[in-house]
Amino acid sequence: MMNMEEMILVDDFCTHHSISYTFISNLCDADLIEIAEVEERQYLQQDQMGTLERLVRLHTELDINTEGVAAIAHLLQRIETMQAEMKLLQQRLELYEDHVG
Amino acid sequence: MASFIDYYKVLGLEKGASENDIKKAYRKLARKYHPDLNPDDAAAKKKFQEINEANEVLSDPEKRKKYDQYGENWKHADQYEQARQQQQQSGQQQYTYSQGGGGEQFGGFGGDAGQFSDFFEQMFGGARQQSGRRAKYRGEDFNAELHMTLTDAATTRKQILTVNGKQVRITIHAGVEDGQVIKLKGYGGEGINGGPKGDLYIKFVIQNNTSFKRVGNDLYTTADLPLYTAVLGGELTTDTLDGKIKLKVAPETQNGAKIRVKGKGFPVYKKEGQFGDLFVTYNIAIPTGLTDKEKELFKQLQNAKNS
Repeated sequence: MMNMEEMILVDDFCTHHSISYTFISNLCDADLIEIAEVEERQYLQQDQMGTLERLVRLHTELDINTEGVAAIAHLLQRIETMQAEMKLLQQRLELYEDHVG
Repeated sequence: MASFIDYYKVLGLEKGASENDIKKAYRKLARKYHPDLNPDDAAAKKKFQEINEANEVLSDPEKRKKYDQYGENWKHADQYEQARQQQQQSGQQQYTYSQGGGGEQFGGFGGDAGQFSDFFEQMFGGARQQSGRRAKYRGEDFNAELHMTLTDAATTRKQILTVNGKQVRITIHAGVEDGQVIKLKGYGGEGINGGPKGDLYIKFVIQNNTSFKRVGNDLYTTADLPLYTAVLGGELTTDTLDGKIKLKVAPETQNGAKIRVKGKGFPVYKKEGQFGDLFVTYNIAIPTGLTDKEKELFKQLQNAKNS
């Protein structure tokens, strides 16, 4: 069951951020966000807002087109994964160093 | 007192740069230092603010004119303006100042600090409030550190923080990581000219107050294992984060052997009821201060093994 309190109308989001519906639709096509349809109206989940606002900023503040935004989003995701992995490896290395030392 | 900022240098431009040069240089640097492209990079964020400020001045013909006019002598600009006006009123010839020209009087100093340097605020703060453009600016982002112990980080807790006099109630979920940053939207500085408020970023600094080492969601520890238990097998009581547990020790356990206790590690962030594992490394304790009888018994064991 969808909690409508955690949903934001796509139209409201577009108006608030002064962006076109096409941009949101393209992000959805690129699997970067999900649009839910309830009673023929399109909604965005609130937990996507952080990601979506970041993508909107890249688009509006840096004048990057949808394809560019999609490429950046994927690369940022990879960086975040690698950073998390690096942190884990550093912690494991500390364990090893403690053992050897 | 604020110090002069060379906005041309910030954007890597010469003084005579065209509007197009400024636009291009700004775009290029903004794409390099934008905070969304450099998460958790304070240096990039600072650089981005400098670039924005330089662009704010150099892309606005009015501000650029004023900036170019006074340059490094900007501190004396208001004194000069007063002198110039007095001289004009008394019918004397126009006072000349380095690059000449009149220029408008600077507005009152101060204004909202926002994301701008003291230099910008002092030079353009008043003028910006008076100008008809009244551009909207997002408020400044605030950064704060929240220190807690590893034991605290193992349980979900609500905490009330005081940020600039306002009370913010936050829930810290069990399993939060050292160095993890959370964003509280709208709890940063006030926006300028009706712009949105900035955000508050809280970084968790977790101090390990336990004997465990944390690696992701797993915990690592060592336990002293009596020689006899290691040889013959048995039970060993050891600490976990939430109390003691009894471990079954297999006969002939070797020194340095590592066992995994499932689900006795650290809570998984925002996944209630899920925990990492606990890894226990056995450190076999060789008995000391043996009596003659004990030594004799060990010799018998040794002989039995060799025969």
